[in-house]
Amino acid sequence: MSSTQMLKGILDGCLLALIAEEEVYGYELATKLAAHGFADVSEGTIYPLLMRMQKLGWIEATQRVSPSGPKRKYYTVTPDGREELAAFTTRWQQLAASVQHILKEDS
Amino acid sequence: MQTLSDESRRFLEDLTLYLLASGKNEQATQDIVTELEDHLQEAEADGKSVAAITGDSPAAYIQSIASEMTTDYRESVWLLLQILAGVFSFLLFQDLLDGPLSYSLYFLVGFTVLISSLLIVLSRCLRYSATHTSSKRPILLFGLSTGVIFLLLMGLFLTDPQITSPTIHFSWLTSSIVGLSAFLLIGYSAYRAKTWVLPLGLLAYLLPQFFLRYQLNWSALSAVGVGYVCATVLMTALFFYETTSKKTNQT
Repeated sequence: MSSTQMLKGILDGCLLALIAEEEVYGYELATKLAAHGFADVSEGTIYPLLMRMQKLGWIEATQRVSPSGPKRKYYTVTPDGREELAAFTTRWQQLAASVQHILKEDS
Repeated sequence: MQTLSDESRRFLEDLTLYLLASGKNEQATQDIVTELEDHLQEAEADGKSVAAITGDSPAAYIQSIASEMTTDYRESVWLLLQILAGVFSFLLFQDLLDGPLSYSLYFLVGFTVLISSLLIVLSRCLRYSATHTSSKRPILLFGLSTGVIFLLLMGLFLTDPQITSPTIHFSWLTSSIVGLSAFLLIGYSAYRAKTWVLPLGLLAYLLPQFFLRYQLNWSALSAVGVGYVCATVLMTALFFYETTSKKTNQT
């Protein structure tokens, strides 16, 4: 299985965590994701996810003039999004621990 | 602001076309296209290509964006009704020149079904061409299906007098009221859409006919011919005029 497929369910949570750090716009978010080691995720992947998270009410977008000129959409996490992030963190930690456990048993 | 590469520009155009032809909300479409345009500009400045954004398949990427957007059925139905009313108005005013209106149920249903299927075919072909840019298939398919639909429309006109179905006959008074409301509706939708192509085209179609038939006693058929040519020339000219003036306004 490629890492892209493994990532599918996890990317939402990662984006949520990055947006929770500070408000970001699309390109900035893609750059941050790549800097954290997700370089082979194509940058555009984040937009359908951002749209879905907006629909779910986890994040909010505000249009603002950016320092470099054009109007940009900046994303912030809503209270619902923070709850989801906390739930994701717990789920991830349990999952990571279980996977780790199995891998250790095997080796 | 630096300009985008042709490849990126084409991708954004395909995306816009696909989303609008899929009945997505115009504002939401504009929003995501602007956001991606902004992203592509920064990415290109950093030396990345459009493939770094869309992945291996731009078509699949466009579809993944579309699947996250809700389809705006209200807007689609409204657009369909406007186009139907627009097409029908030519017929309506043409018939008004010949006398009081009368339509059979067979004709009204057939006409609505055929024009709607024409529009659905058009939207499918536009969507297909947006995700298969190098393919000639959509043009061929569209040409074929419009050909069939036009033949069916001709058939409808020809068979209408022979087929008996409930028919609505209007008096002069109600015909004039229908005509006036149609004209107001066209005026209103032109005002909303900020394009005067349809009402002016309609006038170019009708006024020469009116003059030729009732002042110079031309036959109905030759008057229709002249009206048709006038309307086509004027509407094409207006369309290009409005498109270029919109472009100059944007830059």
